[in-house]
Amino acid sequence: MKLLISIVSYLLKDIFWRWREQPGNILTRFTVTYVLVLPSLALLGAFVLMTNNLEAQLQRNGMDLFFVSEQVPMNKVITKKRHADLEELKEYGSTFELHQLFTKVKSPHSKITHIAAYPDSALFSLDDLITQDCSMPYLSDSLPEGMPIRVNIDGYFFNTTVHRSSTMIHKFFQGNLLLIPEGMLPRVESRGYSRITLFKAHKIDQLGTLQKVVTCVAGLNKSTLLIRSSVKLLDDFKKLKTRQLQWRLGLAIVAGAVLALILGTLSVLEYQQRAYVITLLRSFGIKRRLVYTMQLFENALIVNIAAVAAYSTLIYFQKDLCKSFGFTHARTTLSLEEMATELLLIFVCINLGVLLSSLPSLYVLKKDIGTILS
Amino acid sequence: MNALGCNDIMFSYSRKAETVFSGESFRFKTGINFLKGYSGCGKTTLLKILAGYLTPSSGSVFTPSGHPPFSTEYQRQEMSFLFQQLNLLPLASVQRNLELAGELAGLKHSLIRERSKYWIEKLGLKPLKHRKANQLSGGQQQRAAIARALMKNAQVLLLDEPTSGLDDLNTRLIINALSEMVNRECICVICTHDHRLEELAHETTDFNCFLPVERHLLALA
Repeated sequence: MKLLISIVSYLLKDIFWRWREQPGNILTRFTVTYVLVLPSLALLGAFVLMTNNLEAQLQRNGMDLFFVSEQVPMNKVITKKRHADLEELKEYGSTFELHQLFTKVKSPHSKITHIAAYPDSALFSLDDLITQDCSMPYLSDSLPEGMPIRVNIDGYFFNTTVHRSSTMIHKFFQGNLLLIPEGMLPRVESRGYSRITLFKAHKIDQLGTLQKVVTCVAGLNKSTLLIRSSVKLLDDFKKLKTRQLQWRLGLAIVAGAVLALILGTLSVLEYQQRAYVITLLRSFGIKRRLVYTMQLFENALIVNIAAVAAYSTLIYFQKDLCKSFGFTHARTTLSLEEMATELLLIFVCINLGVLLSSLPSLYVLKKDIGTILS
Repeated sequence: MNALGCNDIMFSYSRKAETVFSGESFRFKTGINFLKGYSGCGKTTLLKILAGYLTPSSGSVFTPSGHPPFSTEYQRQEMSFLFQQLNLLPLASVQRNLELAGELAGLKHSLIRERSKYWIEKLGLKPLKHRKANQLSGGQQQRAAIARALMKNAQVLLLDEPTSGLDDLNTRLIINALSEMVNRECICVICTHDHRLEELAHETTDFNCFLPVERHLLALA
């Protein structure tokens, strides 16, 4: 054991001195690994960011929402509870409902304006629009924000101000919308309305399934629910993501394989020098296995440090990378989790490269000492 | 002490290459044994076979301890080999080269220090002991390589041309060192063309007598 420690200590010192004396070899291996791993990871990272960006944009446009509209006829208005089929959705996301009323809103600035009554339960979701001063926001994208406006509903006049519509509402109502508290116009509400439930899923992956469940339950209960969503777009996006992941993995394998081949080629190029050192060490009686292990250790250490350095560089400059690709909506950080598969593949490939580059050493170790040293 | 040698060895460097040994046997006893002969007659090959650095295709090699020649124990502790090209570790200092030989032989630290100091002084390497091997001249390297070979007090000392190209002063230093080794009862096999070493030899093996006539003529030509 003492002897083994002594030999290993010498070999480590030998590695250190060779590193100091011949930085070319070490630097070459380090640089080659670094230079190849960094752009590969940057490219793969850019793909991840691209997906994040696209996902963020789609979510902004309501990919994670669906709307259920249900006609509440005049004779059923008295039942104010939401449809029982939709109650369960609360567990899987946030919901709020609006009652689109069947009446005309007249204003001097807009010909078509929808009107919807919001129940008390929707206040939490509309907190950015409803205030104590303004309980009847007029939502419009075309009129200047904050402009006072006078509207006529069914012969009644009201004063209100213009607001920008919130993200969720904007997805369903195209054009201008006047929000009023439920019960403010009982005569209009008693004529019946269209109850619109907006649902935003906690997990976007569950959206399709939840929509299917709602449709199925509604079918079984023979209710007439009209569901609008971007599930089809979501499916297309998932397919795109899967395909992109395959490409990313393929790219990672190709990059890793190139690196492995280059490391292998480098080791072949320095075969003569390596053969001499290995054989010299063996001539002292050091076992082949130990010499081989130390060679592997040295190589693995260099390339893994280089790969970690490349990854660290990428993490350090990731925000600049995001900016250079023009990604503004996506998260500007690449998490280890998102890059885990690619990183794993690249590390596996470079370590395969280390094994590949040790093949000349194996060949040298097989040869008799006397055929190399004279 | 048992002898070092081989029985009925057959060896060639490759299938196509000429056979170097075809069933010869050698036996070397304690003392200094000389191997003489024309260049290319197989002296170095025999030394490498005795060191376990080459494996004969048939026949057997025996060592004083009974360990096979390619065993770690034999190569680390019982045998020292001086290559024609010296093969010092180029980036290690002279002292480190010597210490490493001792460490690999499993010697105690104090003994390593004592012996390395002794051989460094004996072979006139004191001013050079911290220099790296690749910074030494040919003669200095040769002395350092011999010091390294003598470090572990090996039972078997195999020296390939230890004084080739050396001046008289350096040769004298080496002769003195080798004479001391003989007193320690080791089997020393030297292959050399150097007549200055002849005074040391207890036994001489002339390889020329193994050579067929046509190889004699070839060597002479």
